[in-house]
Amino acid sequence: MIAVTARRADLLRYGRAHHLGQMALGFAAATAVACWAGNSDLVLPAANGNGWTEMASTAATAIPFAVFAAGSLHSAMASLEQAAGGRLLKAELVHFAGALLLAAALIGTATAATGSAGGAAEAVRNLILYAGFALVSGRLFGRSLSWIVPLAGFVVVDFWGSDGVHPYWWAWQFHVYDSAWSWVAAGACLACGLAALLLPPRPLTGTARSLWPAR
Amino acid sequence: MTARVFWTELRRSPLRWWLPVLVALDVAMLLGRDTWWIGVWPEASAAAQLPAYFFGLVLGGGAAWVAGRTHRAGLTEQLSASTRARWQVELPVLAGTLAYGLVAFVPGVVIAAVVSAREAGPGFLWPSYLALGVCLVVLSAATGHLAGKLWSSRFVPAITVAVCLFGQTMLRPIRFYVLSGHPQAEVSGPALAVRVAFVLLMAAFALALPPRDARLGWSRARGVPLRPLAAVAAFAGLVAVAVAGPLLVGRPAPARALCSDETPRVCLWPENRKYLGPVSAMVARLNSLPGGALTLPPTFYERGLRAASAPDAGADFQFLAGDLSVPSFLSSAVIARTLPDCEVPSDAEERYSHEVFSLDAYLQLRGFGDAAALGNDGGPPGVDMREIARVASLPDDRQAEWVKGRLAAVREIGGDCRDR
Repeated sequence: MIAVTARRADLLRYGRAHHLGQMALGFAAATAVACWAGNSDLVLPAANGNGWTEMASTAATAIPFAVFAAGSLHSAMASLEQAAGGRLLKAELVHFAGALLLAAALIGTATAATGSAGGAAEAVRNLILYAGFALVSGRLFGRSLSWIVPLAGFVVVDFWGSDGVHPYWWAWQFHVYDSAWSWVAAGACLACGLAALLLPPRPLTGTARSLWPAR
Repeated sequence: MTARVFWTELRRSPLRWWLPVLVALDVAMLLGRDTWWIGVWPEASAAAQLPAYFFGLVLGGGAAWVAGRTHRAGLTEQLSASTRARWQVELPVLAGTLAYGLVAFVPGVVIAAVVSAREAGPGFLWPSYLALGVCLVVLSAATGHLAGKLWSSRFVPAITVAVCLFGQTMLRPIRFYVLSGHPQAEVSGPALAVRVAFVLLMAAFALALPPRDARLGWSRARGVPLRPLAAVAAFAGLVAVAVAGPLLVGRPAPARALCSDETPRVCLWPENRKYLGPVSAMVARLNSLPGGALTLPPTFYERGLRAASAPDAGADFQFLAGDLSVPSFLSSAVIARTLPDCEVPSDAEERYSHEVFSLDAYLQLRGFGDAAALGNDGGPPGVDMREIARVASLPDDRQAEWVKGRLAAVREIGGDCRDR
């Protein structure tokens, strides 16, 4: 009984430092956007001969989910947590896995309800991809800046990722859901992100310091 | 004093790391894309404006991150007790963010002007497109600054990026960018004026609105509910932008179109002067087919030079991403004059269409003169483009015979035909 109470208290303390309430609000807003955009194609500037690319909205709607999931790993007590033991890392992994599953359920349902089942699968794949990007971004620039690499990925793929008719092999967000290659790539990106999460913490000083301080 | 603070801000702003990235992005987006915009002033202007969409995303998040430094450093309270007016405190910060955004915008503009100058002839980049790009950069920076100042959440920069992305992409009436700038269109004066006013309003809010007071929370700090009023004003501004009409409107036809001296003539919008030579050459190739099998109109017009109600105006040619689109329009104009007017029996429609499509594909190829550029697999339905390319490589008199053969087949299939 005492152990259960202690665990619940731990969880509450963890949740308080990790913006979980804000993440929930963010997920709700991102779900609303995914419903709103579910069935529409986005027309964005691009490098191909047309000057624009028409893409499924899930190339963009998955980004907020991934960024909220990875960004919520930021802690108000980040500097103290530098000295934390392995239990914190476990808690972070459970936290991120839970956030990612919830995000997948939300964006999948929203896109399937307003778009198509194939679109929902693409949305989940893009979420996995951007989640990997977001974790890498959090590692490089600090967890508050988890949005930088996903945004960079979106800009590059949107502008250069298609010849106007077909996506290039590396523009995974544009691939249809039955492209096995795009799923493998998304899984690899997530694996890179998880590796970035699992790497031992960086020293706060010296050349390895983040370009942007953690605060 | 403010100037010194501004220089300090430029040196201290996190965006100093982003400047090289933004400059590289600007240049890459201009030079790393299809080059048909080079040499046409309005197209070059629109191309120089285009990176602003992506700058908007990056600067929206960046400005929120920059403005949020106050919260992250725990200085919110001290600043609220400052003896200086709030806008004086904010001005160097927002100006620094804008400086980084706008400086990154300049290389693209200069490059667009330099590479276009030789082909485009008299004129210059159209200021209205550049103003539109500047508006989007300022709007994104102001929105991000305001959000970063008002809310201390770590998610604010990401939310600002999402608002800029989905707001600009999904809400077409409030767009601040255009995808291309063909000479038949121009940025609407009223739409641009309302956008400029809206951007200035948002910049004023970003400077002057007081942030959340930690002691009083969101309650009314000085008796006037400034923030709700600002929210209403911003929403009204967005509505005004939406009702100001479309961003691009049609231009009146120029008083003097640019026309070639040969017969048949080719007439273009003056801004498209770089295409006069290539299109005249296409028409000359169509005209040089011996035997008089083809009937060409006396003048080929670019779309928009004459009223849409004019006879044959539907086949007036357009430059859709360069001159690759022109041969199909020229072919349509020639076919409309060459083919007899036939009552095609319903059971012969397929054979009839096949003959017409073959002729159309041949004329496009003959006009363009380069089978590889037109593509071997993009021809009309049911037409073997390799066969058409073979025909186009025959001597001219054999090609004329082939055309006559197609026309004879059309007459035979069509049954009851009258010459036009």
